[in-house]
Amino acid sequence: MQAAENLADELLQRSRVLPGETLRKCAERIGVRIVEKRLPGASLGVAIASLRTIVLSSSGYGARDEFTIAHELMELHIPGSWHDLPPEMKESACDRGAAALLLPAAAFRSTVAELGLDLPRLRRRWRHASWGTIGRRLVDVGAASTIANWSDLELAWRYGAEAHPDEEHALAEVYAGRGRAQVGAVRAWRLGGAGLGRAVSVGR
Amino acid sequence: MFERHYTSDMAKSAKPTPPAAASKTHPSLAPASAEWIAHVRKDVARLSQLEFAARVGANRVTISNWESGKFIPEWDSVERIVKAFPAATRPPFGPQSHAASMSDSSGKVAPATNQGDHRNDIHALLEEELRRRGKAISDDARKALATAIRSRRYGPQNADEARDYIDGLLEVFADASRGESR
Repeated sequence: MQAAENLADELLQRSRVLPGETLRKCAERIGVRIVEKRLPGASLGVAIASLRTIVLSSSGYGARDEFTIAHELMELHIPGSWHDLPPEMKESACDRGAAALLLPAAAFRSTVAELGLDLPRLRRRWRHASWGTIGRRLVDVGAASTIANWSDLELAWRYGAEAHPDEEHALAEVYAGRGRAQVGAVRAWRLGGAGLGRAVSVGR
Repeated sequence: MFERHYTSDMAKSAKPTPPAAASKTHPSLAPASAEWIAHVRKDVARLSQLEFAARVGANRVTISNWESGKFIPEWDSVERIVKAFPAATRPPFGPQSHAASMSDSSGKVAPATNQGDHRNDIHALLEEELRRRGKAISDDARKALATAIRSRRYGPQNADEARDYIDGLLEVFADASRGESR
């Protein structure tokens, strides 16, 4: 997936964005305007190439808005041929690139080396990125083989390989009342929420 | 390299699965990409899965997974495919494909029979709405609108919702353009 990493690196270099700065700054420095406006159909963002503009329908949740900006920045810079391909392929590629923009590979790897495969600590370090983005980057940079997000014991999404054999046990422990669990190569955290609540599991 | 991706829209539309069955992907997650891969391999490249795999630097199982919609090909894989088979973005998936279709003489949109037709339907819907409103928009805005509509899977089956969406987006585009000229 080198193309996504390369494009993300190029945009970050061009914008000379500094650690801790948001992607709004990055957009500004490469001449992309961000306009906040409520979009129809619960859309979070739209990129208008000719105006070098991203229309952001703010979710009120910083990490999600940052991801939307990152995704739309990718939409503006992805090769033109992608716009003629099935939309989910482009969306998937832009999601991948967006995650690389938010969590550049080298810096993220070094944080993982320092903090280990500990999602809550990683989240505290990278506050502008969501659990999902951090999780998918763990897979992208090879630190984990799979990450899954559960809601009331049902899978909301998975990124990476098939479920690890230990995953079910780790999840059962988390839902049994402990906030976190480690079973074999799988770690899981309960994130709260209504009902049984959300949990995230990461397998090596 | 793992090649499964879920966009936020897909995550919302995917039926939740109990943990025991969690490793199975919902088959409807990636119909357009699956159809595109099959179209490129069979109609453009005219190769077997094995031959196609060799040309695009993948293995046969990966091609099979792409064609079944189990996985969506990653960025690098798509670029290799488009580079190996430049006609991959031409009709029925390319931008030219809508020109000959649009709506029929009654102004109604024909039901979609495959992804190419579905794409044509969306363009027809968009053109119909733009005609009805008498609004001229730039090619860029038209393309952005079509992409936005496609990514939300609007079509004849939810045309009213799509019309509202188009209306809302046209306003947003107009506002953004005004902001630019100020």
